[in-house]
Amino acid sequence: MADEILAHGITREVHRQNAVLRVMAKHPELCFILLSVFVTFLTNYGSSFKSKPLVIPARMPEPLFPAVSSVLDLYLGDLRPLVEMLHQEDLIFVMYYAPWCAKSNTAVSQFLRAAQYLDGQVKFVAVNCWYPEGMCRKQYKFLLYPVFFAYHRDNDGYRYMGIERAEFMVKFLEDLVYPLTLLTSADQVKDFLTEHDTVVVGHFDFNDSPHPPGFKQFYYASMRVVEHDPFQPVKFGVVTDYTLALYCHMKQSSDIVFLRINNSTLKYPLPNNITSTNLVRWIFSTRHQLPVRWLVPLGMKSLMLSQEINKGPAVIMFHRASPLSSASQTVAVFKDLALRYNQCPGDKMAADFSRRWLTRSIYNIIKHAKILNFCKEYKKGRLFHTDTFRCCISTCHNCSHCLRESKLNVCEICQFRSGPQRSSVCSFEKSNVVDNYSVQPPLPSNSCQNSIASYDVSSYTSVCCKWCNKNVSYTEFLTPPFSSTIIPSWGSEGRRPTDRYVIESLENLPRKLCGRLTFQKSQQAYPSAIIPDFASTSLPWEFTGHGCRVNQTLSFFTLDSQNHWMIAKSLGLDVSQAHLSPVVVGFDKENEKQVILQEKFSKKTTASFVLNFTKGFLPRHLRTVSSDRQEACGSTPSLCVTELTTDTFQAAVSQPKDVVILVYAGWCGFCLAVSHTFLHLAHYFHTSPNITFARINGETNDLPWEFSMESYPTIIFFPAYREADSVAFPDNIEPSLPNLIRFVLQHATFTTRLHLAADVCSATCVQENLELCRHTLQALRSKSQRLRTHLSALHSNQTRSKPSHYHAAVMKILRKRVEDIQSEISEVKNLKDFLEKSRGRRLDRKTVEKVLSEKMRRKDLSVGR
Amino acid sequence: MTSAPGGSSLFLCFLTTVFVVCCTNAIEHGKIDINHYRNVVKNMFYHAYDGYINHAYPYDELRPLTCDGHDTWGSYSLTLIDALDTLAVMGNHTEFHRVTNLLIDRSASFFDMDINVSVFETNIRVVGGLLSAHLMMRRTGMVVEPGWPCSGPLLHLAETIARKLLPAFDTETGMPFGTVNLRHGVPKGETPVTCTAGVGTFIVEFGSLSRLTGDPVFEKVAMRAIRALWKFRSPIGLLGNHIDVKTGKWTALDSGIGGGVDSYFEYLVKGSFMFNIPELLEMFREYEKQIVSHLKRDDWYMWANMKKGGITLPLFTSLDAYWPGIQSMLGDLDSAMKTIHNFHQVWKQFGSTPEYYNIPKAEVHQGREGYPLRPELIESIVYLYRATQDPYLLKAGVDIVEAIEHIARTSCGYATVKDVRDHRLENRMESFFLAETTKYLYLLFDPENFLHNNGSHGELIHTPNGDCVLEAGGYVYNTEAHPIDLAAVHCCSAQKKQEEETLQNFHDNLNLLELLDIAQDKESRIIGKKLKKKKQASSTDRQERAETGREGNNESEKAPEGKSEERENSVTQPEGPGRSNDRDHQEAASTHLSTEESKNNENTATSPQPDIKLTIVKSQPKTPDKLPPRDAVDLNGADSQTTASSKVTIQINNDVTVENGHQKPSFDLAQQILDLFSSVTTQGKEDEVRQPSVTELYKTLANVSVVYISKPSIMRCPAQPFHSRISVWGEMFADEDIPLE
Repeated sequence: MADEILAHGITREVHRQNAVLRVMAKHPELCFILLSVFVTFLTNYGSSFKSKPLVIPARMPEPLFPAVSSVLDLYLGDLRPLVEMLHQEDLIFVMYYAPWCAKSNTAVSQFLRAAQYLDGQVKFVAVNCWYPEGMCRKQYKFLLYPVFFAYHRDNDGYRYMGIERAEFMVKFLEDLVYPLTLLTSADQVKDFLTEHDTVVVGHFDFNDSPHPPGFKQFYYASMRVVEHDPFQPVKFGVVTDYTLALYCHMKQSSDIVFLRINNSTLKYPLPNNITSTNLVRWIFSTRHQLPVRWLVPLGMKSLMLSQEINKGPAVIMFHRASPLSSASQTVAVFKDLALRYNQCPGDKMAADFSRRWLTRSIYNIIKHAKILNFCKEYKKGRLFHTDTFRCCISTCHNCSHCLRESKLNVCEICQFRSGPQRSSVCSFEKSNVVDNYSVQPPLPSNSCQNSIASYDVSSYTSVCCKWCNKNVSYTEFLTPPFSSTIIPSWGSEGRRPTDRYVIESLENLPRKLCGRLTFQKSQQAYPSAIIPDFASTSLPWEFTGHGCRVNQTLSFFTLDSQNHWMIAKSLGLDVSQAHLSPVVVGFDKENEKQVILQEKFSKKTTASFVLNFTKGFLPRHLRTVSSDRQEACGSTPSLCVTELTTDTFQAAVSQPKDVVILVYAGWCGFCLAVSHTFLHLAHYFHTSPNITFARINGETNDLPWEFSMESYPTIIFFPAYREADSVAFPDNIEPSLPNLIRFVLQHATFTTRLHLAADVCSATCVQENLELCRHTLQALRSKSQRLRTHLSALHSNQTRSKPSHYHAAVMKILRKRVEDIQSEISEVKNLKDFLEKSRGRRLDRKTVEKVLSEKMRRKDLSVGR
Repeated sequence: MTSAPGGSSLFLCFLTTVFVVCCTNAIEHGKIDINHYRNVVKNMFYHAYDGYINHAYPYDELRPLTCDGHDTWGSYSLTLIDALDTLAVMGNHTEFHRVTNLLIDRSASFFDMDINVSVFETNIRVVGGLLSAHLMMRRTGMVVEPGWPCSGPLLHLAETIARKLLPAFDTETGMPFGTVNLRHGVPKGETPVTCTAGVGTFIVEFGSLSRLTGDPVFEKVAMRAIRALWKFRSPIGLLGNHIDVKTGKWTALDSGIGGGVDSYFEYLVKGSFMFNIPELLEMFREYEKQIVSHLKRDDWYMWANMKKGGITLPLFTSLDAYWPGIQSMLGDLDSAMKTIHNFHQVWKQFGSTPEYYNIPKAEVHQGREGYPLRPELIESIVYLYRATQDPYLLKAGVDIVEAIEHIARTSCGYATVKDVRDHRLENRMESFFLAETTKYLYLLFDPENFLHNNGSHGELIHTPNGDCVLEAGGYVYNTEAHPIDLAAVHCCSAQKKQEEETLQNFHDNLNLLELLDIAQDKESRIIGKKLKKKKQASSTDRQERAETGREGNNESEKAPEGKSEERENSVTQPEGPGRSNDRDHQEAASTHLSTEESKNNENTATSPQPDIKLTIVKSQPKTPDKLPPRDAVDLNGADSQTTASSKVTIQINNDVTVENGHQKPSFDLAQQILDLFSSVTTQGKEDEVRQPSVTELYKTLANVSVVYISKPSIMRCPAQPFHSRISVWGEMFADEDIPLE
């Protein structure tokens, strides 16, 4: 039977299969449709059947910069256009970025702005150096993005390691474009030094050859130092004049010296081996403390601040830095103070520098003001007349070898002062500039050559020299006689400037000057604070030379309030108004002291601040964080403890109540673990009006020394009226709720204890205490009885024998004790009566207070006293 | 599922305000706009979460390239459970309710499956996620039962699955197997090799479970495993990477802080303050010392041979990055910041952290070049930002958000980076992306989040255990970023019961005469340290203060000597009566013990004279202890000593427990019964390898003590040095002061 069924089943199965086959044979198109459905299914969803995990490549890079902009964006990482450009452009500034990098993306706008500002002078290129298929990625390996490099045409690249803000990039690039300064007089050298604090001066004789030995390396080094410290670079000066070189302790060509404002002059030790690397190494190994150092932490792991702070006490000024302008009054005042503070009495040089610095900064500020005025008018549309700048003087110089060669050296000196001086047609400072040229040996020129003397966009001297053959009649713009005197023969009238710098300057000057101002303004890097007593020289008499007398090193630093507000914030300072009034802090690591200048910043207040800081007269500044959470306290949560700050701490502690404070640190795990217990403790006492609870973050709020904790969490108890008798919860006891309650009760004033007793004493408690009272009463009575017996015995003794002092004293004490016990008895009795009245019910606080009011007053009064 | 109502309009509103703010207050260059980034992170979370719900649920994980789901660690909708509390953190209560109810509905059959799961992953992701969601139910506005937080459906669910993991712990050493079958226990032929983290990463979840449910078994297995690792550490105090749980033999000898070991150290620290277990902190301090001397180079932590200590692999592993977060909890902020700078450097190089990174070569280690959207770096950043408020850390956070958004985003989620060098993407999104990475990112940009409560406010709850203060900021994150409120855990614990009892006794037996100074004036019982006035801030003064402080300590330590006899009793009490494998009995015992323990502590600190009676000594235990006095004395000695002898203490403690196990008569009886029982069950299988069983486990657990020697003096954080206030924005201080020039 079973077999039959089985066989039947099989046959049915066979039948069904046959049916399918038959249908298929009948309709071959059906078969085809099925097959095609299967194939499409496979191709569409086949991937999900694969056991291998699916992988997709990263998306293709897209340009980061707008297509039409002054930045060339090589977003596929191709380096070839850049290489081509290297041969054409003087200076290229390159940003290597990664498209996923947040920092690269934020740098884009600043890079663009710098590019717009320097359009025409420096070429800006951005390269995606992440794209794995790109040439850049294959060639270079960067550990972070973005990376900036400036490439000089006939030189290698300089890495920019500064702040990623347009104004700082521009300063860096300008320093690279004009790394050398031609120095022509002793005065100029001194001014140069006072302005830049540390300068390297090289003597190169261009008469011998257009490329004196070592000059090229000197030039490279001047750029390399900009790379090392783009904020306060060591400036490089060139002296061509022999006598001036001698003045600077340089005897021959290719001598290099390092001038330092508050230290001796150093001579480069390897005169025969001038390489840029050696030079740079030498400079940074000998460059010591600057009068005022501008610290620029870059947000990378560094020890910069700590190194300075470890050296000793420091005065730090937070102000709005303006890298593109030397006209900041705050910096001028601060450096003036630093120079004066360290000025030793006998040191004439120091006094000279100090005086020079003042005049120099006054000059800078006046110039800045003039430009401001000028640009205001320029904007109004009052066009600027180029005529006023035509101020050229030709001078003929006669020299021995020139004569021999029957040649005449003729120089045309043109000086152009900044635009605003419209009225002065030609403000030639003969003594200053022209004399130098007339005295010095002839400039090395066989054709007209321009040399730039102390380049500045707003004040500028060009010298154009020519060899003139004696025999040839002197060209139209020269006049004999051939004496080495200045011939102011050619006025400015009717003359056109000849050299391209002058022309360019004349045409671009207004645009440039005012463009710079707008640029600074848009970048908010604009000197704005005005110091009322900026130019005053009357300082506290002790101040000048104080550093020399007390022989204590005091460093002066500045920090930029815009880029380094976080450091100010961490010191508990508000620098949001630093552009109006800089914030000055004294920081003394060794004595753990931090003080701040409370008055408005001025020369006088800062000077006396520095004096008082060194003398230790100033009170410690206590950082505090105004707690926003405190407001949240009143509203939603059911349990809350007041957050104190440094400012509210003293008031909270000295209120006529018991105060319990938890000092904690936000990061401390153990504090988190105790906070709920503390809240519970506060809740436990919440019905007692005589005790309050509060918390304070001991890390963000500085407390007076006696309350500065060495570890967290710490619970401090301040008894009412006696906050000086504060006690901390011992750190060898578990801070559990019962322990804390016990601790509080132990130290609490009488009233608090009374309130608590009334609140928590249960029915059992009343019963037990009643019993206790009875026992105590009994004990006290018997004790009192004993004393009385003793007393009477003594008394009878005394009456019998001769009275002695000893006896009298003993009796007095005994009487006192009896009295005490008597009063105790009455108190206990009071309590007992009261407890009996309550008949096993809970106690009513008011009644308790009434019963013990006498005692309460007595207790608290004695404490209060 | 979708973002909060009105999200997009809110966002627009936001952008405009941002714009205004940036122009009026642009004085602080480089300041991060946290509101903007909070929204970015929120969108990131919802993009991935919606992707999972729409395409992958009920599978474990979403496959973000193919937009479908697959099962990975089990088949219990892992991502859903893992992401649940992130919903609450982001304030989406409706979705939280929906998912919670869904889980509760499915709870009956949820974990009854014939699948092999990783003990470690199931614990941290599922048990941790459920516990955290359980504790968040009330604050999201759900109706909770009267017994909450000590009972509730999610807690029950967590307990159920945790119980299914227990068989893995039945090994000779106490260290668990790596895999367990949810229905049949440890699979046959399962390898006994487990990674160190897989052995020691249970205490946070299991300790919480034990205290919330009242069953000490979980805490016991967790502590037993931790102590076993401590026992098997190398002679120079380092741990290896993998260990044979049967023999205690190390199978991978590379010692590091990262992958394979990481969360063990993390849990030592977190467990120590979460449950007040000083023993764990002492272990950590000991390990830390060795780690610093053997592994730390230039603020990196490398890999060394655990026996010899020489560096074997100069690698940074992506999992190392949790370490600075741990340091920050203990107040080692300076060192933590230095290290996080190094780690962040790797991120800046690749836009993610490769699994392994060769430090000297500054290159990815071949073969381990992926980045599965791990949270460890951002986790440490969150901890450190909370501690230092250093804006550098916000920037680092922005780096992470932007990079993930740019690199890993796909049409329905975020994908694992297969190779950090070219950012190829892989078809996987681990559940920790939603549980951890987005949560930590959100917390970084949401300073007002309830999880950032610093303890200034809390909620008073009336529970069967008495009044409890909950949600007071004591959130401890498990290694899967599931926050657990330690106040809630404490609320259900035996300690809490004991405290309540103590207070009740105090209320009943209040001595009014003494309290109100009627009979005579009393001296204080808890004598606090007097704070001294300091006239000048000179260093000598400070030193003096420190010295007087020390004297004070000595005095208070001298006091209890007179009571050593009594202390002895109470200390040794733990091994006293009532030991059997009956769970209830055990529970009673441990409750009792811990009360004795805490009482003991109170005694140590009080002056001998009896005055205000807060603690009423309960009826003395029936049978005095039979321990050899030597041990008791030793224990006492160690107890009164400070951290210096920490190692000794713990070892002695271990010895005590082992010895006791063989000496208790009551135990012997229970053991015999059990032996009989187990011999019946294992009859006929004697030749086979012993299969782990829960019954065996309970038997051995009787010997494990979860009574801890209290040491409040080490449970503290040091204050930061004065100069640390300028350690911001990358500025550091050298470990030793730089000598003056």
